[in-house]
Amino acid sequence: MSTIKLLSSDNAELAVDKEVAERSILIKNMLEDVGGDMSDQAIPIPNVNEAVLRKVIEWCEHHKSDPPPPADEDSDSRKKSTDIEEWDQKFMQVDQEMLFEIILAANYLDIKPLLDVGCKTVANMIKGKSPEEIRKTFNIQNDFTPEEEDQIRRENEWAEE
Amino acid sequence: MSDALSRTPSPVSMVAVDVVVSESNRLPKICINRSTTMTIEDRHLVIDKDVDDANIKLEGEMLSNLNMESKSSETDMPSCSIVTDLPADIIPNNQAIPNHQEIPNHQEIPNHQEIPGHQQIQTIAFRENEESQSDTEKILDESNYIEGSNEKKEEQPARATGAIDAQPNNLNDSIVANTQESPFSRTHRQRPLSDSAIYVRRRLRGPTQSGRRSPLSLPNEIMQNILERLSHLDLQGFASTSRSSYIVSLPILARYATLPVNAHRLGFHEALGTNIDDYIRTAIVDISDEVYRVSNFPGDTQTRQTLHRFKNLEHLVIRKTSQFASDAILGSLILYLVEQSTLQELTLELDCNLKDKSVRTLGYKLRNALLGVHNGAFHENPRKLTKINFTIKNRNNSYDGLSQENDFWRILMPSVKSLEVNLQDIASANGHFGTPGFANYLDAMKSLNVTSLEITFNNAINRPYFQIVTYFPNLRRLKTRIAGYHSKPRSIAELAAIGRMRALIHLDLPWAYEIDSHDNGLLGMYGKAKERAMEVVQAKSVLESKQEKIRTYMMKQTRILVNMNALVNLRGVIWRYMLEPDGNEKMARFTVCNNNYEIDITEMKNRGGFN
Repeated sequence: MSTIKLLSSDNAELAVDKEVAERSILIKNMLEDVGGDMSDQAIPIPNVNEAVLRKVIEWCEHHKSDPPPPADEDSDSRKKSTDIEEWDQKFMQVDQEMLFEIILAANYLDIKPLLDVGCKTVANMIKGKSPEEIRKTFNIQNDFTPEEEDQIRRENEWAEE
Repeated sequence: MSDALSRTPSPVSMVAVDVVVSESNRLPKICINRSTTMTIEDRHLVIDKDVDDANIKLEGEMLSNLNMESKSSETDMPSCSIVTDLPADIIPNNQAIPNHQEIPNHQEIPNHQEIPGHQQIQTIAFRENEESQSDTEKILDESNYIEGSNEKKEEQPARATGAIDAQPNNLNDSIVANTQESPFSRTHRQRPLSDSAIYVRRRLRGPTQSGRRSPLSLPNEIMQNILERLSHLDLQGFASTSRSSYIVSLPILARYATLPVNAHRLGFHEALGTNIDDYIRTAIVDISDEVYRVSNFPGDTQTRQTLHRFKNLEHLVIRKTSQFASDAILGSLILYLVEQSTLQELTLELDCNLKDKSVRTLGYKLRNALLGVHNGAFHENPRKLTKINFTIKNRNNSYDGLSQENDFWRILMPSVKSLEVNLQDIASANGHFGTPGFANYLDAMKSLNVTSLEITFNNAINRPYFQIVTYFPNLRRLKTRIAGYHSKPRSIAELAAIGRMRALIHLDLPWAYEIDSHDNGLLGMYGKAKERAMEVVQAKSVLESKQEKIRTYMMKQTRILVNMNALVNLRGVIWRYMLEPDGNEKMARFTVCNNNYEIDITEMKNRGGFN
């Protein structure tokens, strides 16, 4: 199995199996464009630092045998689900900074299944929480006026019935 | 030591907290130097002023088994004990916590797992000193911490003698003071640990510290991806956290709440200063929604008025998700479509597979609704509706009105240039007028003005391009999808009909054709030697050589298509295909250059469709 090298934004060079790296559509396309031979040259990943890149590679390693995602990218099942596999749940047990970095990296590297897992994780962090709890969780500043908050509370009542 | 702690109250002063690991009683200690008010990161650990003895509550899932004692010889300290939210079994009281103990490398702390006491202590130590660190250092430290690097863990006990400054303005958050408690008493309130140890560490950091990051900082498309997974209630909860959250949530909230019939719901937006007049993005109306069952008069006044408050809406989605379809909202929607001029895009997603004989079918309702439209109803300004996305499910070819009521489309189509049609759930058998079911829809939607068509069929479709050119002969851009096309090879003869679309500039089609012996002669006509040479010279894997072969064949077919049909305007062709070994959709992109003398076709390596 051939190995390629990835160069993180902080100039760390990580060797990774080509098959694993090709979970990233961005890298896959890059390799196709250069004819697949990148054994002597590291592929720069300028938007992702080493720590995040290692996590992303870890995920790709684990999921290297997964079937490709369905062609229908907008399928409701993919969008609306928040179910996360057990392994992915543990994988995503990182601090928020790292979680968001993984999401951004998945988006940049075009790894849709990882992006989905990240988005599901964040969605699950919002689920079932009150606005105040969500603010605390994500350090969101409440900039509503008291009147607006009152109004929102009243408006929300119908949905809570 | 306890005597010292239980002395008289001391004056309020700045907080100074040291955390050390005790070897003597195997419990962590928080040492108060000279204060009656103590806090850790301004929110979670506070001792009230002017107390002799204090019980300290660690708010939330935090720490356990902490004893407090005076590290220095100062005598004006209150005695303190700690009450925690953690269950007792999380950090066993009798667990040995040797000082400066090395933590195994890459140690994970999975959710709901017992957290060894020494790790908790070191978390505290780390937090207390991070005030002096730069943000970058904090992130790096945290990253190392999570990954459990040896070096970082070994450093932490050494740092534990540092002190932090209090932020007294937030002291009220978690004060629990009980001056009667004896020093060193420990109380555990049983409560399930709801999150991981990592989350515990995050809590310690506090919301004003770095590391908590709002998802609002994520790019919009990612944020939408997240929000689309939330229920209506959760979405409202998130929208209510801040103005920015609300604005980000609005497009999705709109799917649930922007176009209901009563003004009460609309107030949700007005409350936040969002003027509905200015709302321009997507709004979705489910004509099956129960709220629309309250009235059954076509063009119900209240519904219509509500709709018309969205004066600048650009994209309207009309959805039918159950057997029910409200006459009232259907009539109002159709009137809204003709009475406004701002709408640029209309999406129709209609499920007509569901049958219910107790309600009239959509077709009859549609016919009734169209009766309310008269010439004077149309807005005086030119319409901006240029794109229609139409998805319909009607596997039984039952009467749904949309393939029969040309008036509906006649109202919509005059300004429409672009159609996106999904007919994959339409029966392939002949419909009411002896033509294939899907063709009835194309017939109903035909318009001389449509120049761009994106259409999806199912694999049972016959002669799709013949039907398309019959109804849309002036297309400049055609994109076709055949659901499941890779499972059934199709006859390449069906491509011949494309030759009748003389205005075509861009084609994006599925390649579902086999290379059979019949075509070998054609191969010879167009560079057979060159193709062979390519195959021989390049020793490739089976997949690669198959891919190479199919691409070569595609290029040849593209050349035939352009030459034989004189498609002089064609500039680009995309063929999408799948190969069995990996099943991934691939794309071959060819540019066509016609310089009046010869047609040059080149495969493009870069990705992306044609604009």
